[in-house]
Amino acid sequence: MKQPVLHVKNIYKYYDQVRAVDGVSFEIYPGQVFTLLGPNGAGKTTTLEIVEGLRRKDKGSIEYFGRTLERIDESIKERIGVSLQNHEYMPFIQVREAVEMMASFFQKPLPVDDLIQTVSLSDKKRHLVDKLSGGQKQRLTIACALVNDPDILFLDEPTTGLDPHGRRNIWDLIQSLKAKGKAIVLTTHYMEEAQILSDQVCIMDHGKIIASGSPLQLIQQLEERSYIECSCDPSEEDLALFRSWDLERAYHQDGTVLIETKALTSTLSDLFDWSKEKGQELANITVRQPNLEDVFLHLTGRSLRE
Amino acid sequence: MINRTLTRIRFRSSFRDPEMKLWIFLFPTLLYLILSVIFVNIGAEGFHFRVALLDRTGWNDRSAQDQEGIMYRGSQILHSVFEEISQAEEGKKPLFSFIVVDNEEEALEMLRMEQVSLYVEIPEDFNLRFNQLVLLGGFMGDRIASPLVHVHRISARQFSHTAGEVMEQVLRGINLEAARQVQWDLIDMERQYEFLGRSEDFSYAGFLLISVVLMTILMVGVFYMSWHLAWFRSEGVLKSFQVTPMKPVSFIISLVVEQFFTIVCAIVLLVLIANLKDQVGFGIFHPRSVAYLLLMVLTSMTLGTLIGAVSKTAKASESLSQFVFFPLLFLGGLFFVGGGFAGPIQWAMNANPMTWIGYGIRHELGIMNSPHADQYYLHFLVPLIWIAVALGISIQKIRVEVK
Repeated sequence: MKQPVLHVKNIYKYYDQVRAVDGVSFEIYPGQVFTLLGPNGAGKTTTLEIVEGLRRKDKGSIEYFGRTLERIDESIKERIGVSLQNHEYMPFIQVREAVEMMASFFQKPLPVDDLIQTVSLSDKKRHLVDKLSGGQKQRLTIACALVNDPDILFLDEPTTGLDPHGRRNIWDLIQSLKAKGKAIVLTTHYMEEAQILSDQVCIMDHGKIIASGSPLQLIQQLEERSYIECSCDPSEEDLALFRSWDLERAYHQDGTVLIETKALTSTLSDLFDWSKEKGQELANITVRQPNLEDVFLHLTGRSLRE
Repeated sequence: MINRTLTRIRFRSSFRDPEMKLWIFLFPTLLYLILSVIFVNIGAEGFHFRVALLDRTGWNDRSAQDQEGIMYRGSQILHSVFEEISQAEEGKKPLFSFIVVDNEEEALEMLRMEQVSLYVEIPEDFNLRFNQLVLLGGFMGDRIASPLVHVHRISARQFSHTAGEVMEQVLRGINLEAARQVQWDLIDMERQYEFLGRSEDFSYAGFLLISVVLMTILMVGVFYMSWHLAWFRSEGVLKSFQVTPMKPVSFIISLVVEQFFTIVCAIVLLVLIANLKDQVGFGIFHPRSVAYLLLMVLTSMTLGTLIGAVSKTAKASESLSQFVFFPLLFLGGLFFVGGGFAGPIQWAMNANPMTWIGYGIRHELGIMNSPHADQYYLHFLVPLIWIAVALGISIQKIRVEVK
């Protein structure tokens, strides 16, 4: 059995009366992508900042490479790479300078130009960071986090605010790093991202891990269920009516109805009857298998995007 | 302790900042050029002050023969010096022009109407006291009352205060002259006095260059140091450094060193321009002058650190910097000869580190005598108090924040 790169045991963080992190435990192994999934304010970033050494935990223990640590010291910082959420750079700094500067903080940095090539920014080397697009900037941030050839890489919401193409680039980069044996800790609120990239997912809500396992394991919890999504605008009375049918749950958000059911045929039939009766158009109707977002919805009754 | 790569990259990137180029390089240079052109005559022609003179000794009513007599030796010396300083050199205005008045009412009215900068009164017993001092001073020492000339100024009027300072130096010069004539040490002969404001001693370009240099240093510290600290903190740049093995102190030192080099570049540029235009400025690299400049850099950087430490955002630091910068600049006597203001303003000037550094550096460069040359330690003490207080509060604030 491999030794975990990072083993977090029952950590807590309080802010006055609020438990931002409430007894979180997990372990991460080399070559594994570990994802903390949850809505904004779930405690993902705080958890990450504690293990990165940016915040102090109130309780619990953190073990890196088999060593239990009270604080994250320089020897550990030499072996971890961190890409912060909304990483900002010094004003008027060039791409190469940003990586070179980061390299100067470590004892054995990787060659700067190789790193820039890894993140496909060689043609932007002399460009000002301020002039980069969101996706390019994010790739630069990952290059900065890789500068010390870390054993474990923390990526805090690396694809937030990126377009689908930019997001896909980052995913490719993460998968290539995983192939090189790096342990990667990812936080995201995109279930698709977590599902595609992760070996292990922890779903967090209100500072707690409410479910964990591989994406497949988590989804399998909802195996017998089907999900019907359609665009329509039912009233509260209509929703109450839906809930009286033979189904598990019905939600309405932003003009979309989501119905979780174990009896797909009868639910669809009821839905069409209701549509006819009420004269409501059922646009964009889709029937699909469960995903991680549905797992979160199933566990908390709320959407990840709420 | 110094991360050279960080320092080098910061230094290079700061030169890409158009605002920095404008405020740290272009603005001081333009300010120097414009002010030195506008006030070019101050250096060339010297100051000119009108003075009301009331001589109560009866000198004006005496014949020329009487005026030469021993009884009027004191008045004679005074009048001859006043006449000398009323003579204009070729192409220049005289330092003083004297208007003889018959009574005090007339003198005070002229002063009140600001027709004159000063009213000088020679008391009735001036010659008696002068002669007593000359004849008996050796035996009776301190028991002899000194001959006094009364100088009346207009309070809270800068020109009157300046005229008074110049007159004070003239009168000290007269003391020396008197001592030479009577072969008697009336005052401490070791002390050298210069006639402030005379063209050969006073260069406005030299005066102005020091002002602009000090202003530039203040700008770098108060605006740039504070802004960067606040911005790095609020935008999370410091956070991205915290997850690396680099020590925070190493970052602060690199920031200070980078800004120090920026200041050096700005000073070199200013001195080169001042030297090309007015043949002044290289004296600023004299070790004593450099010591004052370093003191100014320290003062300015610690003030910037304090502002950066107490500001939550870069915007807040900008506002606070303006609030600190302008009073320090304008109440530091940088662009005028300070002193003689109403109470609170004078206190603010005396509490201002710029005032003392300005006095000190100009004194060292021989541009202008410091009015506090006899309490020389104050030139260092006041800025050092500011440095200690600013540093103390900053460290305390940062500690609280880290906790």
